[in-house]
Amino acid sequence: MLFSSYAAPASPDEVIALLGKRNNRIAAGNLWLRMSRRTGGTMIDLKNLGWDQIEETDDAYLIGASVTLHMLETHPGLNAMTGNLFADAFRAIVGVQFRNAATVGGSLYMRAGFSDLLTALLPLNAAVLLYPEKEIPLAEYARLAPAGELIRGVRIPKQEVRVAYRALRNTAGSVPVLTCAVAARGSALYAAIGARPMRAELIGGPGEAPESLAAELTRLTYGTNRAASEAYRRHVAGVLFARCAGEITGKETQA
Amino acid sequence: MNITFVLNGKTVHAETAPDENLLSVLRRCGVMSVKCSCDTANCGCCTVWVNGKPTLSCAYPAPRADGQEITTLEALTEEAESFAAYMADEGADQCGFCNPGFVMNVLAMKRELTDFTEENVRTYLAGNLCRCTGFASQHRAVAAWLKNTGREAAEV
Ligand SMILES: Cc1cc2nc3c(=O)[nH]c(=O)nc-3n(C[C@H](O)[C@H](O)[C@H](O)COP(=O)(O)OP(=O)(O)OC[C@H]3O[C@@H](n4cnc5c(N)ncnc54)[C@H](O)[C@@H]3O)c2cc1C
Ligand code: FES
Ligand code: FES
Repeated sequence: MLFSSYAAPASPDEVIALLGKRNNRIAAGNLWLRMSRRTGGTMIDLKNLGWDQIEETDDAYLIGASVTLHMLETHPGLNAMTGNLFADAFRAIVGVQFRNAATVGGSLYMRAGFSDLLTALLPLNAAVLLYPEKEIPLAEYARLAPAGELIRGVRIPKQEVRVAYRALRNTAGSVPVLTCAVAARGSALYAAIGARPMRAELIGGPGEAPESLAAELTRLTYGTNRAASEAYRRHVAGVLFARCAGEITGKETQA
Repeated sequence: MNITFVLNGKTVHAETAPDENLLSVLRRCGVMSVKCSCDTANCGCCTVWVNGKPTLSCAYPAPRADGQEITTLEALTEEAESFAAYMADEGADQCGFCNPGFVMNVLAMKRELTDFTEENVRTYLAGNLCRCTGFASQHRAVAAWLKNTGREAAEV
Protein backbone atom coordinates (compact mmCIF):
# COMPACT_ATOMS: atom_id res chain seq x y z
CA MET A 1 0.00 0.00 0.00
CA LEU A 2 1.39 3.39 -1.00
CA PHE A 3 -1.06 5.56 0.94
CA SER A 4 -3.66 4.82 3.56
CA SER A 5 -5.78 7.93 2.94
CA TYR A 6 -6.46 10.65 0.38
CA ALA A 7 -7.20 14.35 0.82
CA ALA A 8 -7.95 17.15 -1.65
CA PRO A 9 -7.80 20.25 0.56
CA ALA A 10 -9.63 23.43 -0.40
CA SER A 11 -6.88 25.76 0.83
CA PRO A 12 -3.07 25.84 0.77
CA ASP A 13 -3.03 26.27 4.56
CA GLU A 14 -4.66 22.86 4.89
CA VAL A 15 -1.97 21.45 2.58
CA ILE A 16 0.73 22.96 4.81
CA ALA A 17 -0.93 21.41 7.86
CA LEU A 18 -1.01 17.99 6.17
CA LEU A 19 2.64 18.32 5.07
CA GLY A 20 3.50 18.67 8.74
CA LYS A 21 3.06 14.91 9.09
CA ARG A 22 6.17 13.09 7.95
CA ASN A 23 4.57 10.37 5.89
CA ASN A 24 2.18 12.56 3.90
CA ARG A 25 3.02 13.49 0.31
CA ILE A 26 1.67 15.68 -2.45
CA ALA A 27 0.67 13.69 -5.53
CA ALA A 28 0.89 15.85 -8.64
CA GLY A 29 1.14 13.93 -11.93
CA ASN A 30 1.92 10.95 -9.70
CA LEU A 31 4.26 9.64 -12.41
CA TRP A 32 7.38 9.62 -10.29
CA LEU A 33 5.76 9.37 -6.87
CA ARG A 34 3.93 6.15 -7.66
CA MET A 35 7.21 4.34 -8.24
CA SER A 36 8.54 5.22 -4.81
CA ARG A 37 8.69 2.61 -2.07
CA ARG A 38 6.55 3.97 0.69
CA THR A 39 3.66 2.94 2.86
CA GLY A 40 0.95 4.76 4.74
CA GLY A 41 0.27 8.45 5.12
CA THR A 42 -2.04 10.70 3.16
CA MET A 43 -1.92 11.39 -0.55
CA ILE A 44 -2.44 15.13 -0.89
CA ASP A 45 -4.15 16.23 -4.11
CA LEU A 46 -3.83 19.93 -5.07
CA LYS A 47 -6.74 19.76 -7.53
CA ASN A 48 -8.99 22.13 -5.56
CA LEU A 49 -6.46 24.98 -5.26
CA GLY A 50 -6.90 26.37 -8.77
CA TRP A 51 -3.15 26.18 -9.36
CA ASP A 52 -3.63 24.72 -12.83
CA GLN A 53 -3.65 28.07 -14.66
CA ILE A 54 -1.15 30.13 -16.65
CA GLU A 55 -1.75 33.76 -15.80
CA GLU A 56 -0.37 36.65 -17.82
CA THR A 57 0.44 39.91 -16.04
CA ASP A 58 2.06 43.10 -17.39
CA ASP A 59 5.55 41.82 -16.77
CA ALA A 60 5.39 38.05 -16.30
CA TYR A 61 3.76 34.70 -16.92
CA LEU A 62 2.70 33.08 -13.65
CA ILE A 63 2.62 29.32 -14.07
CA GLY A 64 0.64 27.40 -11.41
CA ALA A 65 2.29 24.36 -9.85
CA SER A 66 -0.39 22.04 -11.26
CA VAL A 67 0.06 23.27 -14.84
CA THR A 68 1.09 20.32 -16.99
CA LEU A 69 4.06 20.16 -19.33
CA HIS A 70 1.63 19.90 -22.25
CA MET A 71 -0.13 23.13 -21.22
CA LEU A 72 3.22 24.86 -21.10
CA GLU A 73 4.37 23.57 -24.48
CA THR A 74 1.11 24.59 -26.21
CA HIS A 75 0.70 28.06 -24.64
CA PRO A 76 0.54 30.63 -27.46
CA GLY A 77 2.02 33.55 -25.45
CA LEU A 78 4.95 31.55 -24.12
CA ASN A 79 5.58 30.01 -27.53
CA ALA A 80 5.60 33.44 -29.16
CA MET A 81 7.98 34.87 -26.55
CA THR A 82 10.39 31.94 -26.57
CA GLY A 83 10.16 30.66 -30.15
CA ASN A 84 8.53 27.38 -29.01
CA LEU A 85 11.17 26.68 -26.35
CA PHE A 86 8.98 24.39 -24.28
CA ALA A 87 7.68 22.49 -27.30
CA ASP A 88 11.31 21.86 -28.33
CA ALA A 89 12.33 20.89 -24.79
CA PHE A 90 9.41 18.56 -24.02
CA ARG A 91 8.76 16.91 -27.40
CA ALA A 92 10.79 13.83 -26.43
CA ILE A 93 9.45 13.40 -22.88
CA VAL A 94 7.64 10.05 -23.22
CA GLY A 95 4.43 11.16 -24.98
CA VAL A 96 1.49 13.58 -24.97
CA GLN A 97 -0.53 11.44 -22.52
CA PHE A 98 2.40 11.56 -20.12
CA ARG A 99 2.84 15.33 -20.53
CA ASN A 100 -0.88 15.85 -19.88
CA ALA A 101 -0.14 14.46 -16.42
CA ALA A 102 3.40 15.59 -15.53
CA THR A 103 3.31 18.93 -13.72
CA VAL A 104 5.57 21.94 -13.31
CA GLY A 105 5.42 21.69 -9.49
CA GLY A 106 6.26 17.98 -9.37
CA SER A 107 9.11 18.39 -11.85
CA LEU A 108 10.70 21.31 -10.03
CA TYR A 109 10.32 19.75 -6.60
CA MET A 110 12.20 16.66 -7.80
CA ARG A 111 15.09 18.75 -9.19
CA ALA A 112 16.07 15.77 -11.34
CA GLY A 113 19.43 16.07 -13.06
CA PHE A 114 17.78 15.02 -16.33
CA SER A 115 15.01 17.62 -16.09
CA ASP A 116 14.28 19.23 -19.44
CA LEU A 117 12.04 21.74 -17.63
CA LEU A 118 14.77 22.90 -15.26
CA THR A 119 17.23 23.32 -18.14
CA ALA A 120 14.71 25.26 -20.24
CA LEU A 121 13.60 27.60 -17.44
CA LEU A 122 17.04 28.52 -16.08
CA PRO A 123 18.17 30.94 -18.83
CA LEU A 124 14.76 32.69 -18.72
CA ASN A 125 15.56 34.06 -15.29
CA ALA A 126 12.58 32.25 -13.76
CA ALA A 127 11.72 32.20 -10.06
CA VAL A 128 10.02 29.52 -7.97
CA LEU A 129 6.99 30.71 -5.97
CA LEU A 130 6.48 28.95 -2.67
CA TYR A 131 3.58 28.95 -0.24
CA PRO A 132 3.61 30.65 2.32
CA GLU A 133 4.56 33.52 0.05
CA LYS A 134 8.23 33.36 -0.89
CA GLU A 135 10.05 33.82 -4.19
CA ILE A 136 13.38 32.14 -4.89
CA PRO A 137 15.43 32.57 -8.08
CA LEU A 138 15.33 29.21 -9.87
CA ALA A 139 19.13 28.97 -10.12
CA GLU A 140 19.25 29.16 -6.33
CA TYR A 141 16.28 26.83 -5.77
CA ALA A 142 17.87 24.21 -8.03
CA ARG A 143 20.84 23.98 -5.68
CA LEU A 144 18.70 23.34 -2.56
CA ALA A 145 17.75 19.86 -1.40
CA PRO A 146 14.00 19.03 -1.38
CA ALA A 147 12.72 19.87 2.11
CA GLY A 148 8.97 19.34 2.02
CA GLU A 149 8.23 22.88 0.87
CA LEU A 150 5.01 23.67 -1.02
CA ILE A 151 5.49 24.99 -4.56
CA ARG A 152 2.72 27.31 -5.71
CA GLY A 153 4.13 28.04 -9.13
CA VAL A 154 6.81 29.64 -11.26
CA ARG A 155 7.26 33.20 -12.50
CA ILE A 156 8.71 33.69 -15.96
CA PRO A 157 9.47 37.36 -16.58
CA LYS A 158 8.32 38.75 -19.92
CA GLN A 159 11.41 39.45 -21.97
CA GLU A 160 12.86 39.91 -25.38
CA VAL A 161 14.86 36.78 -25.76
CA ARG A 162 16.25 34.47 -28.39
CA VAL A 163 16.52 30.99 -27.00
CA ALA A 164 17.33 27.54 -28.35
CA TYR A 165 17.12 24.06 -26.84
CA ARG A 166 18.85 20.79 -27.63
CA ALA A 167 19.05 17.50 -25.75
CA LEU A 168 20.61 14.16 -26.53
CA ARG A 169 18.92 10.85 -25.72
CA ASN A 170 20.35 7.38 -26.23
CA THR A 171 16.93 6.11 -27.34
CA ALA A 172 13.67 7.88 -28.14
CA GLY A 173 11.59 8.40 -25.02
CA SER A 174 14.38 7.76 -22.53
CA VAL A 175 15.71 10.44 -20.20
CA PRO A 176 18.31 12.73 -21.76
CA VAL A 177 22.06 12.15 -21.28
CA LEU A 178 22.72 15.86 -21.83
CA THR A 179 20.46 18.92 -21.99
CA CYS A 180 21.36 22.40 -23.21
CA ALA A 181 19.46 25.69 -23.40
CA VAL A 182 21.07 28.89 -24.67
CA ALA A 183 19.50 32.34 -24.41
CA ALA A 184 20.49 35.78 -25.65
CA ARG A 185 18.87 38.71 -23.84
CA GLY A 186 20.15 42.16 -24.89
CA SER A 187 23.95 41.92 -24.67
CA ALA A 188 23.79 39.00 -22.24
CA LEU A 189 24.30 35.38 -23.20
CA TYR A 190 23.40 32.42 -20.96
CA ALA A 191 23.62 28.65 -21.14
CA ALA A 192 22.06 26.00 -18.92
CA ILE A 193 23.61 22.55 -19.10
CA GLY A 194 21.84 19.64 -17.42
CA ALA A 195 21.82 15.85 -17.19
CA ARG A 196 25.61 15.99 -16.71
CA PRO A 197 24.11 13.84 -15.00
CA MET A 198 23.93 16.44 -12.23
CA ARG A 199 21.21 19.09 -12.07
CA ALA A 200 21.27 21.84 -14.67
CA GLU A 201 23.55 24.79 -13.97
CA LEU A 202 23.35 28.28 -15.40
CA ILE A 203 26.45 30.03 -16.72
CA GLY A 204 27.03 33.27 -18.62
CA GLY A 205 25.97 36.86 -18.13
CA PRO A 206 26.11 40.37 -19.65
CA GLY A 207 28.71 40.84 -22.37
CA GLU A 208 29.49 37.14 -22.56
CA ALA A 209 30.75 35.94 -25.95
CA PRO A 210 29.80 32.50 -27.35
CA GLU A 211 33.48 31.54 -27.44
CA SER A 212 34.06 32.27 -23.75
CA LEU A 213 30.83 30.47 -22.76
CA ALA A 214 31.90 27.46 -24.83
CA ALA A 215 35.18 27.39 -22.90
CA GLU A 216 33.41 27.84 -19.58
CA LEU A 217 31.02 24.96 -20.09
CA THR A 218 33.87 22.50 -20.55
CA ARG A 219 34.92 23.39 -16.98
CA LEU A 220 31.57 22.34 -15.45
CA THR A 221 31.47 19.04 -13.58
CA TYR A 222 30.35 16.05 -15.65
CA GLY A 223 29.86 12.49 -14.48
CA THR A 224 29.58 8.91 -15.64
CA ASN A 225 26.54 6.69 -15.21
CA ARG A 226 25.03 3.78 -17.11
CA ALA A 227 23.79 6.07 -19.88
CA ALA A 228 27.01 7.90 -20.78
CA SER A 229 30.56 8.66 -19.67
CA GLU A 230 31.91 11.89 -18.30
CA ALA A 231 34.10 12.51 -21.35
CA TYR A 232 31.23 11.85 -23.74
CA ARG A 233 28.94 14.24 -21.87
CA ARG A 234 31.58 16.99 -21.85
CA HIS A 235 32.02 16.60 -25.59
CA VAL A 236 28.27 16.50 -26.29
CA ALA A 237 27.77 19.63 -24.16
CA GLY A 238 30.11 21.53 -26.49
CA VAL A 239 28.35 20.24 -29.59
CA LEU A 240 24.82 21.02 -28.33
CA PHE A 241 25.94 24.46 -27.13
CA ALA A 242 27.44 25.27 -30.53
CA ARG A 243 24.23 24.20 -32.28
CA CYS A 244 22.04 26.25 -29.92
CA ALA A 245 24.33 29.28 -30.16
CA GLY A 246 24.38 28.93 -33.93
CA GLU A 247 20.60 28.83 -34.00
CA ILE A 248 20.17 32.04 -32.01
CA THR A 249 23.03 34.07 -33.48
CA GLY A 250 22.67 32.72 -36.98
CA LYS A 251 26.35 31.86 -37.16
CA GLU A 252 28.38 28.84 -36.15
CA THR A 253 30.76 28.93 -33.21
CA GLN A 254 33.64 26.56 -32.55
CA ALA A 255 32.55 23.30 -30.88
CA MET B 1 -13.76 5.40 -0.43
CA ASN B 2 -16.57 6.16 -2.91
CA ILE B 3 -16.15 8.19 -6.07
CA THR B 4 -18.66 9.35 -8.65
CA PHE B 5 -17.65 10.19 -12.18
CA VAL B 6 -19.01 10.25 -15.70
CA LEU B 7 -17.85 7.18 -17.61
CA ASN B 8 -18.59 7.24 -21.34
CA GLY B 9 -21.54 9.55 -20.81
CA LYS B 10 -23.07 7.72 -17.85
CA THR B 11 -22.74 8.63 -14.18
CA VAL B 12 -21.13 5.79 -12.23
CA HIS B 13 -20.35 5.24 -8.57
CA ALA B 14 -17.32 3.15 -7.71
CA GLU B 15 -15.38 2.01 -4.70
CA THR B 16 -11.65 2.75 -4.69
CA ALA B 17 -8.72 2.46 -2.33
CA PRO B 18 -7.05 5.82 -1.54
CA ASP B 19 -3.92 4.85 -3.48
CA GLU B 20 -5.52 3.02 -6.37
CA ASN B 21 -5.06 4.10 -9.97
CA LEU B 22 -7.89 4.87 -12.36
CA LEU B 23 -6.91 1.92 -14.58
CA SER B 24 -7.86 -0.75 -12.07
CA VAL B 25 -11.10 1.00 -11.11
CA LEU B 26 -12.10 1.18 -14.78
CA ARG B 27 -11.40 -2.51 -15.30
CA ARG B 28 -13.48 -3.30 -12.21
CA CYS B 29 -16.26 -1.25 -13.83
CA GLY B 30 -16.07 -3.68 -16.75
CA VAL B 31 -14.11 -1.46 -19.13
CA MET B 32 -11.81 -4.07 -20.63
CA SER B 33 -10.32 -2.00 -23.47
CA VAL B 34 -8.02 -0.30 -20.95
CA LYS B 35 -4.81 -2.30 -20.71
CA CYS B 36 -1.94 -2.29 -18.27
CA SER B 37 1.34 -3.09 -19.94
CA CYS B 38 4.38 -1.35 -18.45
CA ASP B 39 2.79 0.08 -15.29
CA THR B 40 5.60 2.69 -15.22
CA ALA B 41 4.04 5.44 -17.39
CA ASN B 42 6.04 4.54 -20.49
CA CYS B 43 3.89 2.63 -22.98
CA GLY B 44 0.54 4.38 -23.50
CA CYS B 45 -1.51 1.13 -23.44
CA CYS B 46 -3.59 2.50 -20.57
CA THR B 47 -4.54 5.75 -22.36
CA VAL B 48 -8.01 7.13 -21.57
CA TRP B 49 -9.37 10.67 -21.87
CA VAL B 50 -9.89 12.70 -18.72
CA ASN B 51 -12.12 15.65 -19.59
CA GLY B 52 -11.22 15.06 -23.21
CA LYS B 53 -7.45 14.94 -22.74
CA PRO B 54 -5.48 11.73 -23.33
CA THR B 55 -3.93 10.62 -20.04
CA LEU B 56 -2.19 7.54 -18.63
CA SER B 57 -4.74 5.80 -16.40
CA CYS B 58 -2.01 3.68 -14.75
CA ALA B 59 -0.70 6.82 -13.04
CA TYR B 60 -3.91 8.80 -12.56
CA PRO B 61 -5.03 8.59 -8.91
CA ALA B 62 -8.52 7.09 -8.87
CA PRO B 63 -9.84 9.39 -6.08
CA ARG B 64 -8.96 12.35 -8.33
CA ALA B 65 -11.45 11.06 -10.91
CA ASP B 66 -14.32 12.04 -8.61
CA GLY B 67 -16.42 14.56 -10.56
CA GLN B 68 -14.43 14.15 -13.80
CA GLU B 69 -15.47 12.92 -17.21
CA ILE B 70 -13.70 9.75 -18.33
CA THR B 71 -13.85 8.47 -21.89
CA THR B 72 -12.62 5.07 -23.08
CA LEU B 73 -12.63 3.30 -26.42
CA GLU B 74 -16.04 1.79 -25.59
CA ALA B 75 -17.61 5.23 -26.20
CA LEU B 76 -15.96 5.74 -29.57
CA THR B 77 -16.69 2.51 -31.39
CA GLU B 78 -17.92 4.01 -34.67
CA GLU B 79 -14.95 6.32 -35.14
CA ALA B 80 -12.55 3.64 -33.92
CA GLU B 81 -13.92 1.13 -36.39
CA SER B 82 -13.48 3.52 -39.30
CA PHE B 83 -9.82 3.90 -38.31
CA ALA B 84 -9.41 0.16 -37.61
CA ALA B 85 -10.09 -0.58 -41.27
CA TYR B 86 -6.96 1.40 -42.20
CA MET B 87 -4.98 -0.47 -39.55
CA ALA B 88 -6.14 -3.79 -40.99
CA ASP B 89 -5.23 -2.73 -44.54
CA GLU B 90 -1.68 -2.00 -43.41
CA GLY B 91 -1.31 -5.08 -41.21
CA ALA B 92 -0.83 -2.69 -38.29
CA ASP B 93 -2.84 -4.70 -35.82
CA GLN B 94 -0.86 -7.74 -34.77
CA CYS B 95 -1.25 -9.04 -31.21
CA GLY B 96 -3.54 -6.04 -30.67
CA PHE B 97 -2.65 -5.41 -27.04
CA CYS B 98 -1.46 -1.85 -27.69
CA ASN B 99 -4.39 -1.08 -29.97
CA PRO B 100 -6.97 0.51 -27.61
CA GLY B 101 -4.44 2.91 -26.10
CA PHE B 102 -3.06 3.75 -29.52
CA VAL B 103 -6.51 4.40 -30.99
CA MET B 104 -7.48 6.62 -28.03
CA ASN B 105 -4.42 8.75 -28.70
CA VAL B 106 -4.94 8.83 -32.48
CA LEU B 107 -8.52 10.07 -31.98
CA ALA B 108 -7.33 12.65 -29.44
CA MET B 109 -4.68 13.82 -31.89
CA LYS B 110 -7.30 14.35 -34.59
CA ARG B 111 -9.18 16.65 -32.24
CA GLU B 112 -6.17 18.57 -30.91
CA LEU B 113 -3.73 19.12 -33.76
CA THR B 114 -4.35 21.67 -36.47
CA ASP B 115 -1.35 20.93 -38.68
CA PHE B 116 -0.91 17.22 -39.46
CA THR B 117 2.69 17.20 -40.63
CA GLU B 118 4.47 13.86 -40.39
CA GLU B 119 6.65 15.29 -37.60
CA ASN B 120 3.67 16.55 -35.60
CA VAL B 121 1.86 13.23 -35.98
CA ARG B 122 4.92 11.21 -34.96
CA THR B 123 5.56 13.45 -31.96
CA TYR B 124 1.95 13.13 -30.84
CA LEU B 125 1.98 9.35 -31.11
CA ALA B 126 5.47 8.79 -29.67
CA GLY B 127 4.09 7.74 -26.29
CA ASN B 128 2.39 4.63 -27.67
CA LEU B 129 4.76 1.70 -27.73
CA CYS B 130 4.08 -1.39 -29.81
CA ARG B 131 6.11 -4.56 -29.48
CA CYS B 132 4.91 -6.13 -32.73
CA THR B 133 4.62 -3.76 -35.65
CA GLY B 134 7.78 -1.65 -35.60
CA PHE B 135 5.48 1.39 -35.99
CA ALA B 136 5.86 1.83 -39.77
CA SER B 137 2.57 0.12 -40.60
CA GLN B 138 0.79 2.06 -37.86
CA HIS B 139 2.07 5.34 -39.26
CA ARG B 140 1.04 4.39 -42.79
CA ALA B 141 -2.45 3.59 -41.48
CA VAL B 142 -2.68 6.91 -39.63
CA ALA B 143 -1.47 8.86 -42.67
CA ALA B 144 -3.99 7.18 -45.00
CA TRP B 145 -6.86 7.68 -42.55
CA LEU B 146 -5.99 11.36 -41.96
CA LYS B 147 -5.80 11.96 -45.70
CA ASN B 148 -9.16 10.35 -46.37
CA THR B 149 -10.82 12.25 -43.55
CA GLY B 150 -9.50 15.60 -44.78
CA ARG B 151 -6.79 16.14 -42.17
CA GLU B 152 -3.50 17.03 -43.78
CA ALA B 153 -0.42 19.12 -43.25
CA ALA B 154 -1.15 22.83 -43.58
CA GLU B 155 0.09 24.39 -46.84
CA VAL B 156 3.34 26.27 -46.42
C1 LIG C 1 8.98 7.07 -17.08
C2 LIG C 1 9.37 8.49 -16.85
C3 LIG C 1 10.15 9.16 -17.81
C4 LIG C 1 10.52 10.49 -17.62
N1 LIG C 1 11.26 11.13 -18.58
C5 LIG C 1 11.61 12.43 -18.42
C6 LIG C 1 12.38 13.13 -19.41
O1 LIG C 1 12.78 12.59 -20.43
N2 LIG C 1 12.68 14.45 -19.18
C7 LIG C 1 12.26 15.10 -18.05
O2 LIG C 1 12.54 16.28 -17.91
N3 LIG C 1 11.53 14.48 -17.12
C8 LIG C 1 11.20 13.16 -17.26
N4 LIG C 1 10.49 12.52 -16.28
C9 LIG C 1 10.05 13.30 -15.10
C10 LIG C 1 8.65 13.87 -15.33
O3 LIG C 1 8.67 14.78 -16.42
C11 LIG C 1 8.15 14.65 -14.11
O4 LIG C 1 9.05 15.64 -13.81
C12 LIG C 1 7.98 13.78 -12.90
O5 LIG C 1 7.14 12.71 -13.22
C13 LIG C 1 7.41 14.56 -11.71
O6 LIG C 1 6.22 15.21 -12.05
P1 LIG C 1 4.81 14.76 -11.48
O7 LIG C 1 3.86 15.87 -11.76
O8 LIG C 1 4.48 13.41 -11.97
O9 LIG C 1 5.10 14.73 -9.90
P2 LIG C 1 4.84 13.57 -8.80
O10 LIG C 1 5.44 12.29 -9.24
O11 LIG C 1 3.40 13.57 -8.44
O12 LIG C 1 5.66 14.19 -7.59
C14 LIG C 1 7.07 14.23 -7.60
C15 LIG C 1 7.55 14.79 -6.25
O13 LIG C 1 7.22 16.18 -6.14
C16 LIG C 1 6.40 16.41 -4.98
N5 LIG C 1 5.48 17.49 -5.38
C17 LIG C 1 4.59 17.45 -6.40
N6 LIG C 1 3.97 18.65 -6.54
C18 LIG C 1 4.47 19.46 -5.57
C19 LIG C 1 4.25 20.83 -5.18
N7 LIG C 1 3.36 21.63 -5.83
N8 LIG C 1 4.97 21.33 -4.15
C20 LIG C 1 5.88 20.55 -3.49
N9 LIG C 1 6.13 19.26 -3.79
C21 LIG C 1 5.45 18.72 -4.83
C22 LIG C 1 5.75 15.08 -4.68
O14 LIG C 1 5.36 14.97 -3.33
C23 LIG C 1 6.87 14.12 -5.04
O15 LIG C 1 7.81 14.06 -4.01
C24 LIG C 1 10.12 11.18 -16.43
C25 LIG C 1 9.37 10.49 -15.46
C26 LIG C 1 8.97 9.18 -15.65
C27 LIG C 1 8.15 8.50 -14.60
S1 FES D 1 0.53 0.87 -18.50
FE1 FES D 1 0.29 3.03 -18.33
S2 FES D 1 1.84 3.77 -19.60
FE2 FES D 1 2.19 1.63 -19.66
S1 FES E 1 0.31 -5.08 -31.99
FE1 FES E 1 1.29 -6.19 -30.43
S2 FES E 1 2.01 -4.62 -29.11
FE2 FES E 1 1.25 -3.54 -30.78
